[in-house]
Amino acid sequence: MKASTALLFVIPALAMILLFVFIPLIGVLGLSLTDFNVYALANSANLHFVGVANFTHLLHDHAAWQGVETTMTVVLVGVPATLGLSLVCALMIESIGARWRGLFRTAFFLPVVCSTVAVAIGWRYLLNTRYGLVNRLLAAAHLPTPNWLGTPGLALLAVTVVVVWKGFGYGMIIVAAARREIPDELYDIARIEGAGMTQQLLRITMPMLAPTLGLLALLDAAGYWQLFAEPYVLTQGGPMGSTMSLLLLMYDRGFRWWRWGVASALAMVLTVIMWLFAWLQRHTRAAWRGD
Amino acid sequence: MARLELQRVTKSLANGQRVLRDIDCAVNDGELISMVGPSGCGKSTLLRCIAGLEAITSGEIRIGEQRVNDLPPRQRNVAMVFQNHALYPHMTVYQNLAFGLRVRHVARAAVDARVRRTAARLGLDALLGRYPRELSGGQRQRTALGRAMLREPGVFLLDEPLSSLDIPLRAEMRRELSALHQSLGTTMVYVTHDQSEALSLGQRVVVLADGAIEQIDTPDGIYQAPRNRFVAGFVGWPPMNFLSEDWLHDTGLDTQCIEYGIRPERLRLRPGARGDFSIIGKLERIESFGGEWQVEISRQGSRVIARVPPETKLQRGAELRLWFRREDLYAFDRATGSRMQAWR
Repeated sequence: MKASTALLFVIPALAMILLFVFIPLIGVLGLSLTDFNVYALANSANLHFVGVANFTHLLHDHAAWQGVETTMTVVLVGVPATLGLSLVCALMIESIGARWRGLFRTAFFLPVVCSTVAVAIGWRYLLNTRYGLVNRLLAAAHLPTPNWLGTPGLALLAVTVVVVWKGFGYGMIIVAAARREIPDELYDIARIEGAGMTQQLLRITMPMLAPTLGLLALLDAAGYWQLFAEPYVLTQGGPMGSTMSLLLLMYDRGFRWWRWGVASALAMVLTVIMWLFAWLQRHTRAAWRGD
Repeated sequence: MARLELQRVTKSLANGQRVLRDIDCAVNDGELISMVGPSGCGKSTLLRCIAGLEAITSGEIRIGEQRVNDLPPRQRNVAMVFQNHALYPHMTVYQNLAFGLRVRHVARAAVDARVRRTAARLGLDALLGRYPRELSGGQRQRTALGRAMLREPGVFLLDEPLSSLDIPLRAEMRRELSALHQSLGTTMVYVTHDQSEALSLGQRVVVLADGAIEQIDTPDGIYQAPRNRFVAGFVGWPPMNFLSEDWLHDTGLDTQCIEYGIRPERLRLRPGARGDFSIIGKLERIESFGGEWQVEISRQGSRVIARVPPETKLQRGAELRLWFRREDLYAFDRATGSRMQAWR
């Protein structure tokens, strides 16, 4: 095929990427170097080039650092929890009979396909201090009934729980598929050689699932860095900014306080972080393939 | 080293289907026995039952002097080699070889010595640091064999270990395997669907069909004196010709109750002694194998194949007469399929 013909086929895709990725990206980069705000909307004379002032502002902004801390907490707690749940549930549904497998797989996967906003609203009811099912159960067991979404540490915990609950089903499907790819003979040999269940898990299943788990960890981490809808619906970033993720902070700065310059600077920071993840992912996948 | 004994071994599936029926077979200490049968005949299942990977429904399996029916695989004193090698892809050759010893918590120094000794014996010493994906088919198979050898089992179970290799390599590995059996002197059960492999490798051959044993005998015994029509047709390539009435009506043989068969190499282009039989048909096909030709003649839709020395005068489409001696015919009871011994 001639290069010019080949070009014809890629032009539509390139055009879309240009229109919806590169042009906005360059726009945001431009905005992040200005003090574009609600006054500039009314009168462009109020728009000034400020250089990297927005970025240095972020460096000294307590809220930004708290956003980093909040997001990092969700990533550092949520990713291992999601992976663990995905792994345990995948191994479980692969070891039970076919009759129950479909039921459990559907049940665990359902949160993934549900609208995030809808399930977050559902969880808000469940976690309601006075009427929520969670606290009713706790009360019935004579346990303390905290104000889940109104206490800083607990609110972040609740957000993390919802995020993990919403996300682990996806990983479960992937891990289950990877588990099915491991030939039965590898376990036959292990049984003949005398490896028990634990040894089979540690010496065969886990090493053979490691590349899949590593990839999932990266995907989950990249996803949790972009945490937005769950805290937005559950807590609006509160109480006292304790669940204000970086993306939520960007939304807050941009759409609540109309400080587009600062919001764009935050967006650029997040973009760089996502690029890092994409690079890591490419790199590790190549390493696992043995290239 | 151990003797393996199967007594009335039967296995039924949950749906009642019997995949193994009354298997009676004894493998002597140090013997290499091959089990052969068409796919789905239960030969791999039988091997898995011996290994303890699957349970039998009734009967008894004895390894050495011990009844092993209820023992888990690791206590049965067996090692197994699979068709697809079943090497651990995340482990090097060394780690694959050491796997069994490591899970049984053998001391590291002892593991190292034994792994290196076995690797040297199989010519794997230079490959110990490689991963299975970096090995050739033959090297993988040798690694799988080495892993089984390190188990120092009483009985080796080999499930079509060569069928994933290409043909020249298969012949080479078959010789190696044979030599290995001679030097180890271990009892071996070799399962294959390839009848020529079964004959060339086994000291005795078990022919299985539909979950039951059709015949156990030496390779020559199986070939020369098949017990029934199935064994006669299954063993030998090209397979035995079974002659329908149309071929034989001028011979005066009883074709009512008896079906006759003849091996392709017993058919000749020229008459021998007086009293030889002949059949005549249209020459359909000539296939040259260099030193030998396979010719196919047909008569009313039925075909006969003969292996003959190259003969340039043969003409496709012409009538061809093939000769054979009466005593080269095999006779089978049409009702039961069993061979009529009195015939020869």
